[in-house]
Amino acid sequence: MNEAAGHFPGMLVSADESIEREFEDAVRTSADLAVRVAFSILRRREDAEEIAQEAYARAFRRFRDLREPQQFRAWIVRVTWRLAIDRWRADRRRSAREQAAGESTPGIDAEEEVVRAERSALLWKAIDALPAKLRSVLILAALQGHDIREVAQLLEIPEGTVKSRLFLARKGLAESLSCLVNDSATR
Amino acid sequence: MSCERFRDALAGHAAGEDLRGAAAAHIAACESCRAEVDRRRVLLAEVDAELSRTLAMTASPEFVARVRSSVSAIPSRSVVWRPAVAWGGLAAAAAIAMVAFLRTPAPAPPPDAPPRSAAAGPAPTAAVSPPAAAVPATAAVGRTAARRSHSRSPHVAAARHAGEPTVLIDPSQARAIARLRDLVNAGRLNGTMLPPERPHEATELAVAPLEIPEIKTPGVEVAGRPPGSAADPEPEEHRP
Repeated sequence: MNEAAGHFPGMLVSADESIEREFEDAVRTSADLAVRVAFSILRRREDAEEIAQEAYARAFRRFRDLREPQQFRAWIVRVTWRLAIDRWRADRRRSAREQAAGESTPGIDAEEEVVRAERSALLWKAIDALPAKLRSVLILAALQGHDIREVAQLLEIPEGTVKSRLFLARKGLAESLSCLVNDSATR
Repeated sequence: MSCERFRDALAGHAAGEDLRGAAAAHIAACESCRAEVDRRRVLLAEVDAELSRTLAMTASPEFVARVRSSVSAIPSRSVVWRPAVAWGGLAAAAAIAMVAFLRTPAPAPPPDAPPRSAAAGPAPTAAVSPPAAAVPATAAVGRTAARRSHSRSPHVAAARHAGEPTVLIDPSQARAIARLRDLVNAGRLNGTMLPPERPHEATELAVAPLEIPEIKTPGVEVAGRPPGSAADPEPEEHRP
């Protein structure tokens, strides 16, 4: 223990230690959001946390360059989103190959669960088909309890743009889901 | 056929848009279109419920620890901080601190004033030395002249090349100082700006680790050997 720090307890820390402490605080306050963002795309907790972890590792390298610390949440959301989209694309290519190899058939006792899962898959199919800009607004609005101002801050776009994108997303969903539900009913 | 014309308006209306003109008139009169709007609203409500259900999750309890662990394996800065370059950064940071100090007129303490302490005022902004060698700020204040006179001593040269020094700073200034250091390391900053109206303040600033004078102790008599023998030379000033 050096004497200077002893004279002013809690006043003096090394620069790197202080940055690391600040970064950990930032992780604690944004971890749920980052994991949810990744999960909204990947739909697997393990994958979502892995991607969020990678996003934080990338963010840490540039953390000291961040001029406005209050923008960290927005920053981590964007990094996580991009990484999750990349992973999702890679997984989609892989799962397409795996599906071609053979599909499993569920048991009859799980019929109700299968119906629910199919409905969920249908809804997510429509959500995933939205353009990225509309999809990000739709998901972040759901994550933030439809707080338009918060979504605007996270995406760094005007509130009016959030509103119009949210409307276009819902309109697109109303249109596409109607077709998807009709198709699945006639099958 | 006329229903098909208002398909887009139906989707917009289901998403919350008001209907106007012909679309409003048509939907008011068409029962199947109203049913279609209701059906789409149900689907959108289903989407909202699905999003809320699926995304109502939190990071697992060990997530922050995993991030901490993965981050600790990363060097704290992407640019390698060479000691010589780092010293330039420290000098720049200290120069800024010195400029701020010089610009702030401080009343001269009375001759019988006690030494500055933690309770009497703020601490100096930086104590530049390895933590083990750091001394109280009260001692550091009175040693500026001594530091300057020893700035070219071999002790300092050794300290400069011994490795990366630790700088103690006020946590609230960590971000600014780290950014300044990175700018210096990246070669984007290589000078110190002083106020042109006060050129006399452009004095040389020496930044060096604190030096503790060698403690001289009288020779210790070792049993069986007289002090001052060839194997245990006595200090110069103790010789007759």
